[in-house]
Amino acid sequence: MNVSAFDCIIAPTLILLAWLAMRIKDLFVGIVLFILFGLLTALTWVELQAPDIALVEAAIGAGVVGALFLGCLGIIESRQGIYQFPMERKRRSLLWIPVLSLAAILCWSISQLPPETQGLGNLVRNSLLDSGVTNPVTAVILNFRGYDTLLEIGVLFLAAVAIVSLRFFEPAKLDSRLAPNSRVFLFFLQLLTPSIVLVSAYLLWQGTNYPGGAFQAGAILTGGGVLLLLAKVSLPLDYRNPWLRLAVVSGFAGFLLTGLGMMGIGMMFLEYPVTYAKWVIVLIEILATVSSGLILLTLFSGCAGFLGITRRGGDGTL
Amino acid sequence: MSEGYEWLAIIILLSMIGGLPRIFKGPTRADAMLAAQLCGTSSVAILLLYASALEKPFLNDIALVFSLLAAVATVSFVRMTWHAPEEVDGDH
Amino acid sequence: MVIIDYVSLILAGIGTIFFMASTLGLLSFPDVYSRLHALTKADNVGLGFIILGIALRSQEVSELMKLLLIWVLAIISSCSSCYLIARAACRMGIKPWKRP
Repeated sequence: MNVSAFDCIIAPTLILLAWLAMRIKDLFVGIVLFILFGLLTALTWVELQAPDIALVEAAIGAGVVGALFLGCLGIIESRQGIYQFPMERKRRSLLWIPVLSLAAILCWSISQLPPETQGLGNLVRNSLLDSGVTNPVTAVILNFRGYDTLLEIGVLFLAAVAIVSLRFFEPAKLDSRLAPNSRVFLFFLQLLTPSIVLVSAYLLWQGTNYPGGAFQAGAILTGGGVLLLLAKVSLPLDYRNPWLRLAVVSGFAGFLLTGLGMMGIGMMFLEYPVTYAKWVIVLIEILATVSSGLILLTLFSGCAGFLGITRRGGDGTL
Repeated sequence: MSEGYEWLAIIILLSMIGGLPRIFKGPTRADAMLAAQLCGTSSVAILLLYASALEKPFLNDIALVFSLLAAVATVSFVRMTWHAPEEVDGDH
Repeated sequence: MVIIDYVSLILAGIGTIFFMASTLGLLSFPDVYSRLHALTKADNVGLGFIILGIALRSQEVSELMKLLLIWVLAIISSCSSCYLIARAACRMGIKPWKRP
């Protein structure tokens, strides 16, 4: 095991940040520590040679999750004032027993692992030519184990359905809470939004051969959407609009229909013909990007108070 | 050559961690978000240094994503969460 | 090592010094406005020096363009967030520090 100076610095910092984020009384400081934890985790993924996951962590953990938590905090505080997490010190000592035993079991099972395993790396590398792409991560998640990704996109879709169906309980009052726009911010957005769309499309296309892919691209689009919502740009997030519903469903439905379509051609469910595999994967990735970006944006809007019944007959957000 | 870059990256990492006490000391909430901003820019620098040192150009893409979305948390803090200058309670 | 490698290492080193300077400023300046200033300006200059050093070693034009894009995005992001925080702080009535 090769431990570098980088590991020795990051590992204790991660533990320290995590512990502080949970123990601190001020909820806002806890959220900021959590955002920092996400940033350092992205660096850790790079150190562990998992750049695709690092991309997702950077896009979601450092951007969208931070905005989501801060939006929630904004709503809580607008209703009941500054929020201090009450720390009660009673009868927590018993909790150490299951926590320490779980930690002991984990350490023991890690120590039992053989020191050198091949894992599935060789198997994936040997079959890479059949998958249609050269990035092994994309090959695994969209071709060899496409079933898992299909269900994950389904879970995302269910989360969006849940959030949208709760919108009747929190009427959106956020536009009255937001301060008037500043021209600097609008100009900044005019520069940034094209770059966001461009980088998202770039990562989507890169995902076939280099680290990248659909979820990363979708999360970047969500970051751009968050900024636009905060600038009081009225995005068409009204869920009565059938096109929006179609866009959100398209990821899951597209993937499912492609899989069933393969059965129509005479192959197994979600087995792609080798010559067209790359284009099938790209098509699925495009649909997944758009729909996962919209779903994450819906999650943010729901948690930050942008969704809800506003004016009668008006469009959804502001 | 790449050794030098890796040591520079570690120095930047240490200075990034060294900026953390400001979260607890800072009298306003903005000081905590400044630490997040510091981490964002420092991570871009660290990733770029590693990308050049280890000859892995895809790390540049991760740095690109970081610099693109660095503003999101800060802007959402300013627009949604910053209501009044409050004392940051750092007791834990 | 060739001369260019030395030059790029020195430039990256200067950038690192700027990063350390910005952390020092963050920890020791007296009020939020000066801390903002230290953080956003020094960080970006440091990033610029590092990118200059790395760009001397890059082999392809596309990589160079990407590095430039990263720098431009970092600059406009931090400038805008600096301005927004300062504006909100001013509106809230946080007074700048005056020398006593």
